[in-house]
Amino acid sequence: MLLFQVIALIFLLFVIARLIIKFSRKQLSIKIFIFWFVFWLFVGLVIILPSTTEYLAKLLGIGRGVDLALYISTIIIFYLIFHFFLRQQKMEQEITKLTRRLALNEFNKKKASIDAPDKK
Amino acid sequence: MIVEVIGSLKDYVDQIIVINDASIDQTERLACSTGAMVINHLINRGLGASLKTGITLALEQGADIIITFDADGQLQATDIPKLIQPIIEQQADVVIGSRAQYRKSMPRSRRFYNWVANLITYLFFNHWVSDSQSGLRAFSKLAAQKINLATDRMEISSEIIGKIKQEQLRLKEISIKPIYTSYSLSKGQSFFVGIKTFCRLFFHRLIDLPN
Repeated sequence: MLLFQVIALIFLLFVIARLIIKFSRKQLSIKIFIFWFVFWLFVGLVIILPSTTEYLAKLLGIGRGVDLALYISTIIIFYLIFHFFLRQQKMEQEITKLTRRLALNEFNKKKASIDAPDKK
Repeated sequence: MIVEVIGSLKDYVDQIIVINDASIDQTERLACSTGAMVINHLINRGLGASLKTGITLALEQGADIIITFDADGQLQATDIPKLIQPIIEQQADVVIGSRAQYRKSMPRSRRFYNWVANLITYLFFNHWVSDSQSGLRAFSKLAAQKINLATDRMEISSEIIGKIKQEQLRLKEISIKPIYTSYSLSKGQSFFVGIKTFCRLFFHRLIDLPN
């Protein structure tokens, strides 16, 4: 086994351990847990037996299995960046809206109590 | 500073709204003591968000003309009558006080940034103005209702220009004389903030999220 594979496997064990700990603390739902567990198991398979990706790569017309894995992970990473970027923008807008509404409400309440102090 | 600015405005407008964008200094207390309407953002949301809060409140209060005015002492309240004149005469929907004629008094680096900002505004929104970053603007009620601002921070200045064009509002620029003090120069945009603003504007143009 190559040194790279050993390091990658140690990292993988660390990730899976974190996943199990989080699940046992009920910080993850069973669906999300299973998804990531299977995903990381699959990554483990690719690390131990890189040749398994060769078949799929040949099917898609890509030279090496490692290349296929790289392409797929690049696409996923870029998609995730875009996804989180949009989500963050949306969240910023919503925080602003909340802040504005809170400010206006507080102002109107204060004004109402000044305009009609006897109603209090 | 804030007290002097509010004091200078009093003779020219009916109501003053101060947006305290989560300042933790004396701003709120001082502004309240002048009798202006003070509205507090619980967390800092930036220039654009503050302008929109102010415009929203002004519309709720039934304003006919809404003026935006920087609190850093760079602008002069004496410019207000000539700023709102085109709106009163119904010759414009939005008037911007342009500092371009007094460009020479602007520090050289600021002059360059201002030009770059105008160029960027032109490239993004296809609308050339002589001072896209001016803090002195007047909106008619109609214009204020039509312009739906989406950006939160400094990029608002350029977005306003874009929205004016998009809503086909009549824009007029009048010349104003800015006062540069070390305090007013400490505000506004430095080189790095400018870069950040550019990026935000770029993404705003790229992905215009529905507001």
